[in-house]
Amino acid sequence: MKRRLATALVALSWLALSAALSLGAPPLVALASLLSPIPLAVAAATGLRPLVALAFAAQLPALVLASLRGSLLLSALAMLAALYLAEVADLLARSAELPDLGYVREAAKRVSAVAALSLAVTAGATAASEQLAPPLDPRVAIALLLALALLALHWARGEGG
Amino acid sequence: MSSPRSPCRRATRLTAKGRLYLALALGLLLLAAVLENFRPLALTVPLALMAGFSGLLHPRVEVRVEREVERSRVVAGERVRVKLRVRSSAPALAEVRDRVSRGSVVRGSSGALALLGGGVELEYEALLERRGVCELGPARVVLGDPLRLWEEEWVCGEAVEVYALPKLQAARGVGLGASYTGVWPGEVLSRRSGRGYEFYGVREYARGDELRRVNWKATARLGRLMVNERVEERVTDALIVVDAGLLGLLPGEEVEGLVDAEASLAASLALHLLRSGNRVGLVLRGRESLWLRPAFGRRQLEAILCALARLEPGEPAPLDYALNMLTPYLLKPNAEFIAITPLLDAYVAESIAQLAPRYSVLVISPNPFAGRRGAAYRMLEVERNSLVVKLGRVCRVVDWSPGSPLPRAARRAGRPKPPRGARA
Repeated sequence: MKRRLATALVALSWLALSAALSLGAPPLVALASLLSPIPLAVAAATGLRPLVALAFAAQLPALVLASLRGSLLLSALAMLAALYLAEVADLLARSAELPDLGYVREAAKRVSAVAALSLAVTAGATAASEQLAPPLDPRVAIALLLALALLALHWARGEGG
Repeated sequence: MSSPRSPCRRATRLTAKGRLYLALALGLLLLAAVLENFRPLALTVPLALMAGFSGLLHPRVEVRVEREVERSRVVAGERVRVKLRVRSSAPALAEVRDRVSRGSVVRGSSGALALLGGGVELEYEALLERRGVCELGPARVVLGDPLRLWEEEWVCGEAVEVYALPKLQAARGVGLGASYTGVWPGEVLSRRSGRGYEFYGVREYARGDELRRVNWKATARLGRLMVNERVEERVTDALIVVDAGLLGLLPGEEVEGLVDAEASLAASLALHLLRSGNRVGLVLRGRESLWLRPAFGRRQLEAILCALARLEPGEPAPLDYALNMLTPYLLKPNAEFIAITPLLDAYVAESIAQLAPRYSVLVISPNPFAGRRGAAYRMLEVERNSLVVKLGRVCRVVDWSPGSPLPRAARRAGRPKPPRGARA
């Protein structure tokens, strides 16, 4: 019962996000975005994890379009919301097959903590970058983010090994 | 029974989701470069932050696993209960999965998502439907960051082998005709007179003979006290040869059924013979060849049952080698030689026929073609039947359809010949 409720909540939230993102978007992009809750809900209910990636891929064009047309802060927050909902759906999908010994609740808390921390920093960083937008060269930003991604990967490997 | 403690092996890897995160970040960077517009880069900020913060919450723990298996020997069709205790040095989210190489988990689950604290106990029951060796373990404990972008896999605990022993069936009434006998009382007719059930002869009364053994008719006829003598029954040596080779002619599932029937029959005969005090040896010819020297007792029975549990169809070496080289080495002349073979090849029959003058040979041949239709199977069955008839001229052959009672098939094959030298 709790699983169904959680799945329904995630699917409804995703649908609301899709509706918000498809406003003013081209028909194909809007259609893909509005249909994306279906694979997400199916994945959360049945445990077919690749469907979560499919739902996210269907949502991505609308997210990119929102970043190109609208506010940077809002598009970053929309991306964060999409990532958070996809993570929760993935968590539900992972726990569909195996018995759950308090795992989902604890994992959901941790995913929410990660999302909350990211929300705080994203809001601050994008708001600051919007104010500083003119002096920031996009090529420098690309190089910085690429370096950040590579560092993150290197760090993650170091932690694991 | 607990699994031996051994250090866990640890391996770390980026998950498929982690690769997707990286691909998405790089894709957005490329898009920004192609469009010459830095706005899509705003989408990489939450991506990088989520990955980074998730990494910060990575658990740094040591994992230990203990497995407790209720029994290491079960009869095919029985269940075995397994307890798995997973301990970690600090709380961590983990996916635990214990390996069950064969059979099915019928109660509980061999896997779970768990919050490891002081310890988590996983309990399940595995049903081992068929004869064989089931490996339980090693256990896999997968730890990861909250988003599972990379995971750390701990492989812990040595595998525990659980033997699903062959089911036993009625094996009485087969009858042994060995003329080699040991010194202990048993069930095999020896060439000596003594205590037993079979009539041996009549002799004059001697002091100390029991009165109930007096043959009153002979006494009246001869005018002096005469007593009946009986054949002494003693133990013997027996070698059971199980042939699971050359079964590639049949479809997979049915081969397994036939090998199970052969193993079950061999186990039942071994149990029956060992209970009667005989020494029993074993030669297996399957994917792995194996032989056991004839011996007494429970330990030998356990060794035979475990060997039979491992029997799988296959042919690493021809059977005639086992028959011609091993038999004289393992078995004394005139002892009991029991071959369980489907008789699918003439050279097997010839090798057995060569042993007939030296041993008391009993061939039990499970018919692999019973109830089959089709011209090819009919031809194979005719060939096999001719081998059964040919072999029946030199030794006792029991043509047995697996699933039917063996004693009935054994009665059709007749009683063993009395040992040479016996007067009965």
